[in-house]
Amino acid sequence: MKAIEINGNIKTFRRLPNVWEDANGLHTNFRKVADPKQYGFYDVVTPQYDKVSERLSAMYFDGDKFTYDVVAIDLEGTHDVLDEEGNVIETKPNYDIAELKASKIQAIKTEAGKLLSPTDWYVTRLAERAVEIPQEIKDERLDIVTKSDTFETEINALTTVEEVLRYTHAFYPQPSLDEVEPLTE
Amino acid sequence: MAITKVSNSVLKDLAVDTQNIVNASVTNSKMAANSVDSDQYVDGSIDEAHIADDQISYAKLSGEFTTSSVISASDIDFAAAQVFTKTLTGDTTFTFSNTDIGMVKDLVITGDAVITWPTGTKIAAGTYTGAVSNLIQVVVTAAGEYWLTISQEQV
Repeated sequence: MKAIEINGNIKTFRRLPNVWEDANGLHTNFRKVADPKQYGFYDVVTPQYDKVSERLSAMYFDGDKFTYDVVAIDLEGTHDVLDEEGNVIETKPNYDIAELKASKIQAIKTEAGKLLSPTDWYVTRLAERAVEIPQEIKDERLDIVTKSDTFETEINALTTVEEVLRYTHAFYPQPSLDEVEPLTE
Repeated sequence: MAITKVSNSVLKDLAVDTQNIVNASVTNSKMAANSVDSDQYVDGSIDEAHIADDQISYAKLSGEFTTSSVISASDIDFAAAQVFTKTLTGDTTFTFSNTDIGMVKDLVITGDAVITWPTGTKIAAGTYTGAVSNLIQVVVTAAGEYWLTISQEQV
């Protein structure tokens, strides 16, 4: 990614534009320019950062590149809520841990529902016509419900906002590429 | 007493000078055919009324409208040719000279390099492609204002 500062504003480009106009004139075939820095274009360097607990500052030019500062997010902090006259009417946490937990649990329940949905007809058939559900289907549905309950318990046991934000779950984890055996002829 | 007229044989050769001819008295019939050449016209005296319709042929146009010229450096002299060609060997900054409103010139440019056009240049259509020849038409729409239309051979 490239960027240029124009009248105090930074404009970013996924790659150099093919046509560029500046005080020197109109440049065509601009992507072929040997040294974009001569025209004010510099690389954008994004530092590594933890997307849960850190964020990037506004982009700035540091002399030979455009970059960001990494800023820690105050996950457990609070902020004031002001009325129209600027008076503090309430102090709220930046992140409501109860809302975060509820949101995660709701997402898990929704996912569990989608996983159960393909076999719901077995349950309907049992209720309507007393046709027994095959054992493997029973096991599969129980596994989904059990995992959902386990995830919910784990989430409710978390004590900090950061723990909740970092919490991930997987009903059926996908193997990593390292674990996948290549196809043989 | 009767007046005896002077005959042609009495006049000495080259004896009749301009003061002996009454102003505005030399008529068209007194002039030989094809006897007036460009030296007898006052500069700028031939106006539109004295050119018959449909008479300006391609051959009568100056080289500015009929010739092709290789751009040796980077200036494109609009008074020099109609078509300009150049193969770029590196980034090039073109300048325009002797431009007038309404002029249209054709450039055939090849070469995968950056071209910088004069300030006031706009692109009406097309993209420069370094790998092939580019036909670039330049129209002068105002003083210091140029519109480019860039196209390539359709293959």
